[in-house]
Amino acid sequence: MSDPADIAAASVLPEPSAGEPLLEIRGLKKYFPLTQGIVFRKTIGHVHAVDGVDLTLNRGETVGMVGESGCGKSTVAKLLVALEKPTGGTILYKGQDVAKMGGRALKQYRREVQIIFQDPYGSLNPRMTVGDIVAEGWSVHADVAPRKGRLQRTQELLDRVGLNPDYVNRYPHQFSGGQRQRIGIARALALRPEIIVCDEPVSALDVSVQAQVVNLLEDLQDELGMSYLFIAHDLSVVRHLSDRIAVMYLGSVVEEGTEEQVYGSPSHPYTQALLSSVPLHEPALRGQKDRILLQGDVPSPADPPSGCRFRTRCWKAQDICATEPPALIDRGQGHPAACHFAEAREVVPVDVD
Amino acid sequence: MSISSGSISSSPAPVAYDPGSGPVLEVDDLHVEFRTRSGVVSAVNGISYSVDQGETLAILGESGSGKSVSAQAIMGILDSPPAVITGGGIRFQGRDMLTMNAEDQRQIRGPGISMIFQDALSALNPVYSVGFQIGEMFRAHRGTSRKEAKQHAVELMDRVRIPAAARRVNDYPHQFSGGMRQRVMIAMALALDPRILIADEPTTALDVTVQAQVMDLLKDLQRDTGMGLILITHDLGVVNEVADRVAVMYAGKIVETGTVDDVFTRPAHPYTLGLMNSIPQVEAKGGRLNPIVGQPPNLAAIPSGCSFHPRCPRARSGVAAAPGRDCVGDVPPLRLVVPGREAACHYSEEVLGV
Repeated sequence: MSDPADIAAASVLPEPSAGEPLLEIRGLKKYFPLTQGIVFRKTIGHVHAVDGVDLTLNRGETVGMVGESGCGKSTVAKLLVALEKPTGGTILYKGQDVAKMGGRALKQYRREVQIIFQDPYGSLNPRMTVGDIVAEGWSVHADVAPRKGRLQRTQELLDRVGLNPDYVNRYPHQFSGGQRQRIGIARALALRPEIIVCDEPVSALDVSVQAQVVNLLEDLQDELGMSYLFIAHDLSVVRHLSDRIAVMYLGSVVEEGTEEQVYGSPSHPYTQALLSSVPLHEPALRGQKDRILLQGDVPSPADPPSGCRFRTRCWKAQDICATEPPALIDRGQGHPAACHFAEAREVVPVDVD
Repeated sequence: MSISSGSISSSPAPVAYDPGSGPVLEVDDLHVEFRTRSGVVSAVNGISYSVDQGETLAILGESGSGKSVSAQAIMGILDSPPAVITGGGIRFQGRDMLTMNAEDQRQIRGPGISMIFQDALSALNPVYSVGFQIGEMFRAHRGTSRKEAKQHAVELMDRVRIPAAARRVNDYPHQFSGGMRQRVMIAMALALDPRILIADEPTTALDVTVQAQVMDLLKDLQRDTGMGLILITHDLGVVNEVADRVAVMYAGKIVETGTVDDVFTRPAHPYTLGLMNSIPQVEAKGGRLNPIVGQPPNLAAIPSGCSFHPRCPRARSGVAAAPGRDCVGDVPPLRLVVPGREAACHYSEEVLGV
């Protein structure tokens, strides 16, 4: 086994000083072109998938990102692991601009920022054994695990994520959904990442299995001290795992704060509507919250509304909302919300017992 | 409102609802098997439930618990082969649907029982307009003219709150958003005023704000029509907010049933309790989750005795078990544990703490 100190010694990226964020995203943008025609492809517009996202991630912290389908959360994940190139904005990792990285620095960035995907069926190559899947990263990042001890290291990883180490020679189809997700986690861990981007890692799993994977992610963080960017649409899972939460709507963050702030005193109308829509499990709490039913659907990101993006469905919208996009700042609620008329409101009833 | 009262009804065997004649739908000891080349898979192993007028019964279970298969058996839409109904009965207003002829069954599907599915995009035909598809119910069951059927379709689209229904009636399914498509499917299902609506994971594919809209709509429609609703879902939150009674399924069997309030506040089966403990709450951050160990069983090799025993913290066998209550050897029957509550566990009293 290689000593983590060896890798640190080989690092080309400076360690961030105490209090400095590990990852900082500023004004991140990603537009996908809409084209027409087959031979002469004409760009007729852009899908504004991510449009100005700011986010920081500290060491050992979990930041949850919630939003409905199409709000751009998965695109943020892809941008972070450099699967897509941003249209604008910067990603600073350990103080360095990822877009300007090259060679060894970029390679190290790619090793240190890993991803777990949503679909445990589509994200594992069916023709590779589990052992090969977990060890594949080492063929590029050979310094992480010396050639000799790789089988043993793979088995340790499988054991760590709760799989039988003797299964190294099995194929993905021999595993259930929850077990496959564990394989995906082992693969991410194999490269000793600093950050794991979890893109809806438990959405495809049954409740009883989902809780097992959530617990595993928590244990691994306690043990290895990684940071998570946890992306999900399930608000209860996000609350359970996250220290801080960013709520996204149509490509931008509309509210950000600690788990307590966002769930306890949501200030953006969208966050309030989102939280009030979550069905509660406690019979005693049924009917205790005022449900805010939104009208209509999310507008198309190819043609987002002017000003505030939420104004077409917002009950507070006024003239200023159509002309001036609200900044994501604290308007006296203790945490930032991107609404001209931000106002804290309790929508999730507090547990009775 | 009875569907035989309208003048447009021309069905040969009108399904009149006779109030006060007991439950509208009764499922009695239903068994369904899938006979595949690699063996027999027992998807539903003797389930019984009934639904009254105006009532909402939730069938709660994880994937592979047999919840959807039981609904497909009621609708007569099982893929057969490989699926075979090997035993039991399904009675609609007292008449056994499994022994009646195909035409009588067809008369019940639509006016009697109808169903909405999880994935509206694949449940709708992409090459016909939504108006045509909703109107098809009237044309097929009542011989309505095309023009009139389309008019009915517009009314129904209005009823399920699709904005600008008259303008959108000729649009195709892909032109609608997910929530709107679900409404189109609900409109189709409601076309003939069914007595029972089966909703198979109606909101699973939808975002939470849209889910709230659709569940709200279903509740309102149920109140207006007095139909019974069977809600098949894995979401405990949806069950809590919508249903009156709940039947929890595991490995093709109902393991617990009762009112939602009772079952959710004090589960009597270790599986139900395990589900409750597995779920993080949106109301509070809470501590560590307490999941059920292991994986759901393979239905081709269901464990002996209580099918939940390999995952159950209370399972006991051999000398530790009470006589006749060996979790590995004796199948626990679904029995009355406390008034109004049935559970299939040898040790339910312990789980309840009575």
